[in-house]
Parts: sequence; C-alpha cells; structure tokens
Amino acid sequence: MLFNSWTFAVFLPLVFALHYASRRAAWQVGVLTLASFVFYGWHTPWLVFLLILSTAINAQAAQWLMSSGVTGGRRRAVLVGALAFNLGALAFFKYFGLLVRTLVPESWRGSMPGWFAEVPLPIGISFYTFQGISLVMESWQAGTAGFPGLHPPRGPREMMWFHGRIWFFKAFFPQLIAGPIVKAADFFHQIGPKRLGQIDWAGAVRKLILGFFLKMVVADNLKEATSVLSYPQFLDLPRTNLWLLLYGYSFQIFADFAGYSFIAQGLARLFGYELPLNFDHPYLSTSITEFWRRWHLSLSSWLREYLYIPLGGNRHGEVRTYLNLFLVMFLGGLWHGAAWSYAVWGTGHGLMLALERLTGIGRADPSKLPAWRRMLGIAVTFHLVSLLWLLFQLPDIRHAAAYVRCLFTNPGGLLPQYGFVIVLFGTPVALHHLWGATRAWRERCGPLWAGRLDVAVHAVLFFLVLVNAGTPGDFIYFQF
Amino acid sequence: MMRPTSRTALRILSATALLALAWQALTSVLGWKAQFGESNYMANRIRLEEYLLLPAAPRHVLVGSSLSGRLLPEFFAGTSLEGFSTLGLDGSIPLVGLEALAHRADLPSTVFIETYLLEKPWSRNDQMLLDGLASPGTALARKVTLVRASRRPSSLLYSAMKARRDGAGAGVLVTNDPSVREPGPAVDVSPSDPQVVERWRGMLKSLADRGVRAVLVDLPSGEVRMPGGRTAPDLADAMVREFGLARVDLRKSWFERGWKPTYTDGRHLDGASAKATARMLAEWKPQ
Repeated sequence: MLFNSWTFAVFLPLVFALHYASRRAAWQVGVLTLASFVFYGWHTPWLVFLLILSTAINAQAAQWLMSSGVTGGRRRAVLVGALAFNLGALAFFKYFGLLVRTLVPESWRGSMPGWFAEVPLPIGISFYTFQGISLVMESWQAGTAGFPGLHPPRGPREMMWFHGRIWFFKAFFPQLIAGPIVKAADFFHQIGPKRLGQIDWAGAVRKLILGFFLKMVVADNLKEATSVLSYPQFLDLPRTNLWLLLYGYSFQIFADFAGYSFIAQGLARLFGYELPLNFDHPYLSTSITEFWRRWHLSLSSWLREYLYIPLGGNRHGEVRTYLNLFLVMFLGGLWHGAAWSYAVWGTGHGLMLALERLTGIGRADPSKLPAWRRMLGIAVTFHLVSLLWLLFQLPDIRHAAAYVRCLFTNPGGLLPQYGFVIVLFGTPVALHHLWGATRAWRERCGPLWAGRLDVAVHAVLFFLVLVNAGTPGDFIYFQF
Repeated sequence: MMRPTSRTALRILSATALLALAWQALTSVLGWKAQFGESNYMANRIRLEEYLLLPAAPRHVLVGSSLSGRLLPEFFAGTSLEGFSTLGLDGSIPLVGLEALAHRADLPSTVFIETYLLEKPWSRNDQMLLDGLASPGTALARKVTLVRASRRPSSLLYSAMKARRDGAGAGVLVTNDPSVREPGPAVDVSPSDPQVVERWRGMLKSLADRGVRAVLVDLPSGEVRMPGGRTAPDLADAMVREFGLARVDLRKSWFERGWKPTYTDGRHLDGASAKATARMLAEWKPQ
C-alpha cells in the first residue's frame, strides 16, 4: 500500500481509531501489527509469508540469545544461524539474479527457468532484514540482561508479549517498506500504552505535511521531466538542459526518499512512536564525510554500528581504516541494488571519503569554516553527489560517462518545458535547505514570529499538496 | 484547555483551509483555467477533465496524440464541425482517448481517430492515465473545482508563459510552395501487432454498436512534401475495409494545395498550420 494512495487515506483513520479504542498496550500493539501485515500484503499477499518467516526466525533467535539455557557454542551457533538466514535471504532475493547474469554464460541461461536470472525482489526486504539483524545483534550483546524494552521472558504470558513486541518492531507499517531503519535498542523501550492526549499533533502534522509535499508536489512533478535522463534520449539535449536534469534528478531523489521518511516519522508520531531522523538537509554538506552524516542517517548509523565497528573501525591503523571505509561504502552501494553500477556508486563515495580523510577535509568542523569555504564545499559536494546519482538512473557506466561528456560538449540552448519544471519544482528543495541553514536566524526573531512563520509555511505546503500534486507513483527507494 | 501542540496543528490546518478558500474564490472570479500542463500527464488530465465536465457530449471529437492536441476546439468555430472537442493526449495513443469517452454517459456522434500512433501498443503511462480517470480524485474534481488539474498553480503559470511565447509567433501565415506536391518515396509498412489489431477491432465494433461514426484522419506529422504511397496496406486501411470507415488524409489535402506546413519542433504543427488543418478537416462531409 502506498502512503500517497486513496486506499491508505481510508486505512489510516481506521487503524488510528482502532488503535486508540483501548488503552491497553497489548491491544494497541496487536492492532498495529495486524494492520502492518495488511498494509504490506495489500498488493502482493504472498510477500506476507516471507515477512512472517523472517520475523518468526528473528524472534526465536532473539529469545534463545537472551535465554540463560542457551550458552557457549550453542549461543554462538544461534547468532551465526540467524545472521546467515538474514543475509542469505537478502543475498538470494537481491543478488542471486546478478550472480547468475554475471557468472553463467548467456547460452546456458536459456535452458534455466526464467526466475533464475530475474528473482522477484520482495518490497522492503532490505529494510526489514536490517532491522532483524539489529535485533539479533542487540540480543547477542545484551544476553540474559536484555535491553531497555526487551527482557528475557519468564512464563508463557511474558513469552507471548515478548514475541508480540518483536513482531510489532519488525512490521510497524510506517517504516516497514523504506525505513528509516530502526535499531532495536531505539524502539523497544517506546512500546507501551499510548493515550490520544499524548500525541504530539504539531510535530506529526509538520512531518506529514513536509513529507507529502516533498513526495507529491516536488518528486512527483519532477519525475516526468527527469525521465528523459535515459539513454539515448539525453544525447541530443542542449547542455543547459543536461545540467538542469542533473540537478533535477538530485532534487527528485532527495524529495522522494526524504519525503517518505518524513511521512513515516509523522505517521509513527500519530501512534506515539518516535522514528530516527533520516535526512538533515544533506545538500548543505561541505564534504562527502558530512554528506553521510546528513543523508540516509539510519543506514549510515546501521552500517557504522554493525559493519564498520565490528570490522575494526579506525582502531587498527590507517591502512585498515581506509580499507574498512572502502569496504563499508562498497557494501552500502551494493545494498541499494543488484547491479554493478551501485557498487561503483558506493566505491566512488568510499574513495572520496578516504581522500577526504587523507587530506583532512573530512575532519574539519563545518561550523568553524569561513563562509566562502563553506559555500565552495557545498557547491563541490553537491556536484560530486549529483554526478554519482547518475548511476542510479543510468546503470550502464558507459552511458553515465557519455552523459558527463555531453554536459560539456553538447550545444547550448534550452528546451523551456523541462527547464520550467525543474526550476519550479527544484526551488522548494533549495528553500528547504535554506530553511535548515537559517534555523539560528529564525530563533533570533523570537518565538512569536518564528511560530507564525512556521504556521504560514506549513499551511502553504499543505495547500500545494492539495492543489498541485504531480503524477502519482511509487517511491524510488521501494526498488532497494 | 487545549495543549500548545494541538493548537499549533489546528492553526496550520485552519490557515490551509483559508488559503484553499481564497484560491477557489480567486480562480473562480478571475476565470483562471490552465489550457496546457507542464508535463504530459498533467496536460492530458486537463483535457480529459475538461471533456468529462462538459454539460453534454460534443457532437464531434478528435482522439489521438499530441499531434491532434494542436487542433484546438476554437479553430472549428463557425465551421460545419462547430462544438468540436479534442482529446489529443500528449505521449499517448488514440485508444486512450476512445476509452476515456466511455467515462461519460453520453457519446459524440462522430469520432475522428488520428492514424499516427494507431499501431503503437498500450503503455504503462496510458494505463496510469485511465486509472487516474477511474480514481476518487477524478470524482472529487467533478465536484470541487479547487482540485481540478486546470486550477493547479503551476499549470496556470506554465499556460500563461506558453500562451505568451506561442502568441509571439501567431502572425505567421501558411506559405505556398508548389514543389511540395511532388510525392516522396514509398513508405514502408510493417506487419501490425496482432494484439493491437484485436484491441482496435473490439473498440471499433463497440463504437459501431453504440451508433458512433468513426472516421480515420491522417494529420501532418513532420512531412514537408506529399508523402509517397505505402508499400502495403496499413492497419488504418485494414480497418477502413473491415468496418467501412471513412479515411481523411489531411496531409494529401495540404500538399495538393501547394501549401507548406510549419512545425514548432519538426513534428507538431504551429498555430497557423494547425488552424488551417482544422479548417480542412471541417471541409469533410459524411458520405
């Protein structure tokens, strides 16, 4: 089910009413869990079985890892088994096709069943699998002591509640399909009875309006214009259009994904839960290092905690640190999809991170940089990031290279229709970042003016959601 | 006592409602209505919604792609095709326009079908457009003008800019050039996709059953002189034979007169040529 669909407009109030129909936590968790499975299986019911399997295995693994009866080698075997299951499922559904296409000669593939090379990707698998891994790792580290919100069950009643909360954590619909990726330790302590009177309405409404605005007004309106960023369509476009398309796609991908994340946060708040911030004005970054502290924060944080640090982080000398950085970004790239272009994208970021570390750029405190240096850093980072986004739209690296060449060699001129769309709908993304950059200034204006400005801006955004939505469609990150 | 967070949320929602009311009043009083959309989807939504909102089905409708979209209804004023409507959908095929006709209870008496994309198969965008017509959003747009595609602020702005730009070249007249009468080389005709043929058969049969006359129309689509013959009968010819349809070749009409059409982008007629084409179509008389 899509957040921007009419079905969801009926689903949400229904679930909201049912959730607050009782003040008992078990009822509320039950309603949200059931609703989440309905939400997930709405278009493709068979996908629910995979989610059930993944949830059941992770829940059982968490129980064993916290049990005093499972120790030593058996406990380690549970951990390895659970991680192998999670990574194996992800590898099979995401990368089996890529491996077949890469390793098996084309002449052999003809005699294989069709799904061998094109395994269908279950929506959201990358996100809920990462949450499963987080649960298993937290349970492994916590042991019999448990962690806030999740303790080893004693007796059948507690056992049911233990499993019920894990099913809820894995399936909670606002973040199920495209994140933010929630770490177990950040979520379980929030589970409890929720009251209607405790809802942070202003916070929820702001997040929902911003999210729907970025998705429905910005991303959905940019979508058709940026669809010409495909081979061979772009070859004959004037270079001004090519530059605009490059920026337009950067704005679109941000608006689409950040929009989804803000909606997820807003929805979660309606039910009394706080999801982690996923985007913090990433195009204000003065370096690639800073970019990864502002873009898809929940993935960066997950990769740091469960990959970079276990690999040794920066504790084993310079060479190993560079290798770890590079490896994390390479795998982070591959996490996005089963194509070598994503690996190249991740590697590109990894190389730049390593270079910034080598030159000291990545270690500089952005707030202490002179204004000109910050502006220069923002411009350079934005262009580097935008050029690498090309690989998302042009997975053939030769096509991406041809695009970069055309940026400089194609004739001048401008096709006004595309220009109009990109400038008009790209401007709100720039303004959103300006809004972030002027936070201190707004606070200096005093609470009265800041409050009025906040109401006015959100009212305009909501008005535009109602009257100026674009072509309806999926979210870009659903494919990952 | 209301909590501050609830009060802020309420203020945001109230301010939005005020803005919406103000916009509704402004567009109604000033009669603002976008004619063009900044994307194919929005341009098509505007045309389809306008068609569905007409108080009664027009007598004559032209369905087709963006080529047909150039033949604006006002070009037919004072001709035998007065009350003409155009469902020329950008980036879309004539079949979509025909499917859209069924979203009204009443039907036109004559449907002109552009032949240019007759053989193009159904695409995802075509389906999305039709799904949109069947969605609650379209039902809402019938009742609430505020949410109509023609009232979108961005489409209004785009329309105003486009009208201004197109208006700058509106004085251009159709020019004479006798050499355009010379036919070009024969046009290759490849076999039609059986699925597309079947879909057309079903559609034309359904139109005939409901008493709608279908007429196939060849529009200029970038030609600069008389097109040559076809190496084999095309799908349009096959439909003409099977259903006894009329076929109006407006390209032939153009070049026989020694007129040279002008295009905005090498494929779409400019204002003056589109107007002349509309007048030629109005010369057509049912047999």
